[in-house]
Amino acid sequence: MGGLEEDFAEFYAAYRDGCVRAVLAAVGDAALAEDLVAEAFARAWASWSKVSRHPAPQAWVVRTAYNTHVSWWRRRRREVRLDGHDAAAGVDVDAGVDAKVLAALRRLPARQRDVVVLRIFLDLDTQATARVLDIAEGTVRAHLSRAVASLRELLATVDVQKDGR
Amino acid sequence: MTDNQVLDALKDSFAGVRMNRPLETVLARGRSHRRQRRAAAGGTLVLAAGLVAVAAAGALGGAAPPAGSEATPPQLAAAWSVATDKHGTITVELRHPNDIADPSALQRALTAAHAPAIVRIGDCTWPSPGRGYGGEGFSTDAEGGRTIRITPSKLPNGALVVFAIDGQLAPSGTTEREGRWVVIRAGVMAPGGTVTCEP
Repeated sequence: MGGLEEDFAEFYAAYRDGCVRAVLAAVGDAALAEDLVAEAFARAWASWSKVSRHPAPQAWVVRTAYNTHVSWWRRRRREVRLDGHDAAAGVDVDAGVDAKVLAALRRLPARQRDVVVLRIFLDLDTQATARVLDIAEGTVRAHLSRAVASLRELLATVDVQKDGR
Repeated sequence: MTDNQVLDALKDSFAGVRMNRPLETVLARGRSHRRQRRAAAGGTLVLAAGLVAVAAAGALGGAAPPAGSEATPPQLAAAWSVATDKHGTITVELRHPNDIADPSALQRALTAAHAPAIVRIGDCTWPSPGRGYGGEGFSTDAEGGRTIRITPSKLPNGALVVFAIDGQLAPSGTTEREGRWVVIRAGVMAPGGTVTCEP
């Protein structure tokens, strides 16, 4: 494995789970999220000399996955998938995450959700999040605060339910 | 719960979500993208240059088909269809996407149907409408998305539907060596947006 490929492999190992969680939070479908993130990582590898210089390549991957509305047709299996964030989507109950938590996250305004997923799944700090989203650091903090306020009650409720089982 | 506890709880709830795609598959797919790019740089994808002109004309308000255009060949008619119902909704049915040999014919059909749509070739990106856009005027069928419906009157004013067709060879070293991948991406582009494609 060459230097560039080794570099990319380390990047993939470090961020693949975080990226798929971030995209799952937006699309609500685990299989679709994995398809989109795999395609985005492939595009990152195809342009790794450029993408690796991005301030936060993991954010580039997530953004690319978000923007990818993919339909893959295979000659043999004739499978078709055409999904897009323009179309209404539900929540995959088998996504590997509590459906209520996922639904609550998806109900957040998009910018608030962006801030949350960049923070918790991609480990970006306020400064890096602001740079990636091209907004002020104060705006990042405001979005995060509002998102946490919205999520707090729900997460507490979920905890109670779990405790009561 | 403190803010950090809320975020930690949220993060923990996703702990079971894993990306299972092997690195090798991602690398192979990335190499396929590179091969396509090199082929295009060598002039192999002549079709791409021709299509850009058609798409640009459509984006400027719908021009007549390019000189020398011909009737849709039978294999294209079998691959897809474009129809408009009495309510003005345009239905694009992609029955056999792998058989799309001439995307410019699809562009001509969309233009003839007065669909605010452009067809591009390659690995394309475009800006989506604003966060307030809820998907009005653009939908796909629930099962597989082979049928796309466009209602121009419900789209944001000035928005275009983009069809990006990217032909991909199957990655080497896989069981799909004999197969050809066709990736079609469709979505709504923000008014005044620009499609950027890597061939």
